[in-house]
Amino acid sequence: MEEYVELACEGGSEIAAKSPVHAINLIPRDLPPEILSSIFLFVPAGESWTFTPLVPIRLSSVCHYWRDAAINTGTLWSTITFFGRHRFHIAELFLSRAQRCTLDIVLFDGWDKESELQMAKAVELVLPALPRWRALAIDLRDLTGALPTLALILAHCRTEPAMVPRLHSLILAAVGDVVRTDDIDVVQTCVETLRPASLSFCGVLPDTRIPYENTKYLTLRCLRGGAGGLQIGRLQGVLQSCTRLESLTLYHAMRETGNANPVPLILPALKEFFLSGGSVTTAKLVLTSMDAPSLRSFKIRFHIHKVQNELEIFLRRHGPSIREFYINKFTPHTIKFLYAIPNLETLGFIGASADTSLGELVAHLRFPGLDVVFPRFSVFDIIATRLRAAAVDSLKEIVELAPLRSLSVRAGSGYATEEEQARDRDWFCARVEVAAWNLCYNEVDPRTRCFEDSTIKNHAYIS
Amino acid sequence: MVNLVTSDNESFTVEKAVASRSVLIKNMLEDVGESDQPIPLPNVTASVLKKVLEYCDHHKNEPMPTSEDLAAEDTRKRTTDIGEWDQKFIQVDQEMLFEIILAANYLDIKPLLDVGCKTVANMIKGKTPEEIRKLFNIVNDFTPEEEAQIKKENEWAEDR
Repeated sequence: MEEYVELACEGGSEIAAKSPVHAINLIPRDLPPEILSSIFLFVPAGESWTFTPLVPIRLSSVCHYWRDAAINTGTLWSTITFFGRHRFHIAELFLSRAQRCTLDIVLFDGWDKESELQMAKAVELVLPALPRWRALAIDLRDLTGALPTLALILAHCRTEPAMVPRLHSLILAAVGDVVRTDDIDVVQTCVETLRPASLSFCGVLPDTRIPYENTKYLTLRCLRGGAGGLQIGRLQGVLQSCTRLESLTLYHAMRETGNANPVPLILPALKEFFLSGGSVTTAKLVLTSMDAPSLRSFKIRFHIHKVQNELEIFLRRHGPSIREFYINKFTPHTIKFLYAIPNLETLGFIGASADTSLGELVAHLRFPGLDVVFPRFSVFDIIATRLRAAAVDSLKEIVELAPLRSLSVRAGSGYATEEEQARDRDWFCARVEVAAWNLCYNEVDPRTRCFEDSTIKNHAYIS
Repeated sequence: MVNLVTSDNESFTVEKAVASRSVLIKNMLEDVGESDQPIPLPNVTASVLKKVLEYCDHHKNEPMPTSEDLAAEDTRKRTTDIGEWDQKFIQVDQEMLFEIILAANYLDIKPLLDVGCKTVANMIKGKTPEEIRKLFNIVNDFTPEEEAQIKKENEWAEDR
């Protein structure tokens, strides 16, 4: 690049000496409002339970020019939350500034149980904007407030069908078995009426009576064990009725009762599947019974040695269609799984510590020991809680042994002095396109674990 | 090759693939057809165009964002991740950073505009209004009445 500029630019050597003709001493208040808006929308404010109203408020508190730009950026104010002491003031302020934007409504009782949100009052505030709801996240930990709220939303939809929103996402969160069989009717009607493309159950059991045929994205998080826990047959029933499912996340799905009944689980549209933690029986059942011919992305974070055979069966069945594969442990055995994925493009590590895994991968790349071609992945992605210097040394060897196009490294903490880390980053940049290098990365906001209960916290997490 | 002329009358001859990263220039080239005529860029100085062309040259083989990509972009789930090369490229002084942002906006180079905006967003992240003012040398021009309203809003939002 330098070369062609030198060749092509008339009087190129003088460029640096010349002053710009306009906009000397430019400061961000001189940027056009639409660019300021764009900058504001990039400032992270969290989403759903973790949304922080302080971010838009601070951006609108700098000067007149910024305040006008912020207040005219409706999307900046479009998440309406109700926690904190001044929840109604904040919600009203955000509602008024969101203008005509679609809204993400978070009916959330706060991080502790002392906040006692008056949910009926909260929903009354946002109901007039019902047609503009894009997402609804509802905290079901206190059913006495939550169920009448859901009923109120449904009554509005029934009396004024034109008010029914085109809801993209519905998140139902609770802890354990608080939703009784009788109460599920309300949830069922809610899904039937709102028809969200994305459905998430956090800490609460899904029910087979809920209509899943419109669901494209299903997330089941922190389903608990213990009395009233997940019945394996119910999970099978739920997944079997998700005929249009494109993305499935099973995160810490525990099992209490029922045995694995190997009924085929045919998901013709499924493209992404992430299995993280939870019950071994559940994992085995899903891995052996799933038939997803369109699967492109598969991520597993699990006690791999407990589901090794089932994983092998799963990969033999789905390997040819998979382009993206993440695993939390590379061992001599799991590395051999990669031979079942001939069209692999992205290989990922997703786990706690990458040291041993990356070492194993290096050993295999050096001495494959098999008379078949090792899949030539071009993108390598590391998401690790911890990254030590040994892992970075292994990573350097991988970069030299495998012709990578792109590398991403995201870890919860650094592994050396900042200078050493910068030197390593430069080393990688000189050899491969480094798409991400983030050494203070939090995969999941720990506050979202408020929906887990003690039985899950005591359960072994995945290494 | 395409000939570009900056506001300070510098001339740059670059590959068509490089210049066409700018939707503005790409459209001009399509409208005009094959021509030796230089393209004037009255809103961009030579020092800024040099940087912009460095970016365009590095990314010249990447697919251009389609209108569907832009339409599908969810403004509420934007990430501030910036690729390593782009991070190094955008390590410039504040004045040049804002000049690059303005040039990317004028030349319609969305990925470069995003890199610039993300960089400023990362500078703002976690800062109080006073810290932001100090960072960008912005004067607090609120009236006492406005100050009172803003103070109240901040108290509401801070009290979690």
